[in-house]
Amino acid sequence: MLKFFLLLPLLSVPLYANPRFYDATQGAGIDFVHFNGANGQKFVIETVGPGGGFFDYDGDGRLDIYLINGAAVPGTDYDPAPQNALYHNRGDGTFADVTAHAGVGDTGYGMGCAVGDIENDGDLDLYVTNFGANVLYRNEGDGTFADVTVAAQVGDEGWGASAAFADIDRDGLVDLYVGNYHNFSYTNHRVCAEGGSGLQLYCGPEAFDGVTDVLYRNEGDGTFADITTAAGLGSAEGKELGVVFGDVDLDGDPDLYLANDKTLNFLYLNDGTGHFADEALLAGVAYNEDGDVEAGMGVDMGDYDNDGDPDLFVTNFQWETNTRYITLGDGTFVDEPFLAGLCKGSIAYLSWGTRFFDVDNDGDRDLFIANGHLESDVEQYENATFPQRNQLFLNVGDGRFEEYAEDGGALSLKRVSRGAAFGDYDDDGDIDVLVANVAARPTLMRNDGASGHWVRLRLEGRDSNRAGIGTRVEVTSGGRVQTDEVRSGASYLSQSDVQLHFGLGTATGIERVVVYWPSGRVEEYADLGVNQEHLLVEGAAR
Amino acid sequence: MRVLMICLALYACVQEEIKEKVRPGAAMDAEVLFVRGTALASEGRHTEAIDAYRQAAVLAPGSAKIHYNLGNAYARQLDYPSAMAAYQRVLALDSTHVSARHNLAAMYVKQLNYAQAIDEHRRVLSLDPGHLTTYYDLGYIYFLRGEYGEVEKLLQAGLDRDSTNASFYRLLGRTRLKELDFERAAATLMRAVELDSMDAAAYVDLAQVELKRREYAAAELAARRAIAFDSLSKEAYFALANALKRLGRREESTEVLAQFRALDQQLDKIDDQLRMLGNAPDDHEARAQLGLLYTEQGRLTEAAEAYRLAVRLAPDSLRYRNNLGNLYLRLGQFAEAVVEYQAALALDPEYDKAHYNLGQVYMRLQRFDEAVASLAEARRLAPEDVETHYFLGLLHARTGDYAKAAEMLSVAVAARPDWLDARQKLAVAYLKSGKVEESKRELAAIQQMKESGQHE
Repeated sequence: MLKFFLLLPLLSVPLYANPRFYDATQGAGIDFVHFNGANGQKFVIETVGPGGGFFDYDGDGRLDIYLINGAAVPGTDYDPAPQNALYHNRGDGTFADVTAHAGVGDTGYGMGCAVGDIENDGDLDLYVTNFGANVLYRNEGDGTFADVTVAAQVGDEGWGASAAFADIDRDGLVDLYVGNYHNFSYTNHRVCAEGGSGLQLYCGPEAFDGVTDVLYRNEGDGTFADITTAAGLGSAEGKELGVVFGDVDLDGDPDLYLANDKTLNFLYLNDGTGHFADEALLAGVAYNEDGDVEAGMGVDMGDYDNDGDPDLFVTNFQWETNTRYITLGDGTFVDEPFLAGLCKGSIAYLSWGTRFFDVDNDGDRDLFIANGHLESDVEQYENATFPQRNQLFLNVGDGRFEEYAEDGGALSLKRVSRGAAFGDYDDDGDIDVLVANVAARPTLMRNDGASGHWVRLRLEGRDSNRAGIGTRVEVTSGGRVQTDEVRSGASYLSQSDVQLHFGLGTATGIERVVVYWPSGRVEEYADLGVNQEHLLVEGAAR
Repeated sequence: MRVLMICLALYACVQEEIKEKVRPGAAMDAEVLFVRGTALASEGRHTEAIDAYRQAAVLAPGSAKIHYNLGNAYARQLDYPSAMAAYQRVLALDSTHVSARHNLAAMYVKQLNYAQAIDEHRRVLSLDPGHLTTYYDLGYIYFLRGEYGEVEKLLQAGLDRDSTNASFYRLLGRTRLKELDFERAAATLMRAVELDSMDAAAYVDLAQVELKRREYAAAELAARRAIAFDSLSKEAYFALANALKRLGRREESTEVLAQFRALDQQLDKIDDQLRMLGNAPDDHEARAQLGLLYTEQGRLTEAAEAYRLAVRLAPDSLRYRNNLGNLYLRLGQFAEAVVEYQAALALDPEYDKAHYNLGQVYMRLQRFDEAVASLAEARRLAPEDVETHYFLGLLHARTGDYAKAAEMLSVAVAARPDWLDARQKLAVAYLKSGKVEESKRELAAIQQMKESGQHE
């Protein structure tokens, strides 16, 4: 009898294989190396980037990889100049460098990237943020891109960090938000001595002034208009690094959350017409739970507790906790990192790229965090290391996470990581991770451990923007309802796959899929098959 | 909290008694300078204290106590490299000087050099296992590093030696909060506030524990107590706002959040200035800005110290001297205020603000003739200034020259007719100068103002 009661709950819990990540970088033929120009002068740009992205640039159904490079700084020479790189997915686990052919090898001092279909022609265009003028590459649909920055008028010359596309006014055209960090320049450069031991260190954000970000409205004729101030986004108070759009208040339009470095974070709620008002303080997402500003780096929005509301996650500096804001459902959030189990595991790391995603396809979203310190000399003055291992926190239910430490796999590698992008590049039904590292090769972390069922949804707008950015989807499977939203940008300086991936656990069917398009149209699908990709075209639901 | 503890420790050390006998010659001069420096430091006048200690150190280079107090004064001025050099000099003279080693560790913490700070604190404990402050400070470093087990060990060791130390309980409670042990955290923090019922920081922590325990009414109570004991505790306002939000009192929560935000912005500015000064201690404008920020918060002693150093770095600044004079005035240090205003006027005899302020301080010193002269000069330079006329009116009335008083006060009343107090004094001046009708007219106006409630 006793055995019966002990066995029953065990049998009711699906058993999943442990996550396992394999460092596939070299075998995949990714020979890209990031250069940051560092020569000891401690220009702070050297340690902030880079990001990277997964996106299917040629529409062959396979995720390709874009990687951001740095450039020379005063006193450094490179020949040839470092450039960004595009790797084409051959479909056999390997990639080919097609940068030159595609024409996307920008040589600016790169930071990050974001994708969106700016002219609704069915392919993804690419925006690159730089320290200096940003670049917009229009996808020509034939495997090549055209630099249309000047014509489109989107070459903001500030220090661009994360960027994201979103249709803020729901006119069917994606607009573009660029988060600018601060006003560092080579002329106001200085070195800071904090940290002791007489070491010359990078200056923190306090040493510089915030600058305004830029919101570009897509005019539909190949040009964009700067509407930052008119849209209520003209504050220069923040020092933006992380940018994420999402429908926080579930009113059908994209809101904007910005992670700021040592200034309070912003939550701009959209009034439905593309005008925004910052509600972060009242919503409880401006500060951490103790009322302190933190060094916000990366950011994500996701419904990790499957309650239908999007929650927020912000990565922060070493000795600070990463912050998870849980929606209370009344427009406010609470920050309870200790209760979430995210405190002890994060305090020793300096964190950047991040995402809620279902690593093991068990039906709830786990959390990945890319780590690495700013200072190569940190070990001389602090109990910390420059390269750090990245972290995976498994969602164990009840709002709690537990760190999963892998022995010997790619998760145990120590790198100086920054951006992280997510997508199933090997098309095996689980989410892989691309991590961009400072002054080093990226890490392509192939996920080999997921065992649950899954479904992948590709959204294609008609009245809405073609890439479906901003589309919210509810998937009901095995009695569990999950929600997610198609996003551009998010994480840190990076672009993840715009397709939506849902782990389904042991469920072998999908009862219902509800699609909330940015146009306002709501469509419902039933009985979609599992372990496959579905293309959902706006207006095509029966 | 850590800063407070360090400051308290430093302050206590500044008060070090002079135990050696006064010796003749240079040693005696050094001793006199040391005493002067100590007195200045105890008044928060660290810039001048440093001068005295440095002169003393030249005369008595082998005196550990002079270098030690010099280090403390530098530390109070946020000049950490100089402070560290002074403490290291002490340790070169006397490697067993526990306080110098402790304070050197504190300087390492200021520079985020935790590893070195830990080493120095450990040495302190090996020299003096009863050095209670070090148990706290070392524990706090481990707390910052997230090494909570070490914090527990150190604080328990401290409590074994002094079981009534509220600070130990507070940090222990905060540590248990971080360890998610909310019940023990609450009990520990309750013990802290039992031992020190005015410990605002402990109440803040308690409020945060109660929020975690979802005991929102208790959180509100603790946060309100914290604010009662420290109206500048932004964490307390934040905790209170959160408690009110969770209690469904959204409007109150919003009001408190606004207070929190205003306070946070002020504190941010101060933090920015302090950080800037850590990198550029000779930036006089940054010192003055810091002084201004402290003034806005009512932290006048700290403001005066910031301005003293600004004046020291830029002695020809009228603004710095005038503002320093104003702070002395508000602190009741009238003689010092006179010195600063006079210095400003020596730089620019036409500086109307300094004349006005000098008049104010002379009034408080009851040097009325000089006050009249200063205010008259201020009036000459700024004839539109209403308050100058008002105070001149008061001064003339005090010397019995009511006609002159009425002349001055009538200018003030003409400019600000709702100024009830000026009108009352004008009515008296008219009466005493024989202008009865004018006095009645003023009294009627005063009566009307009182009835209508429309007056300043």
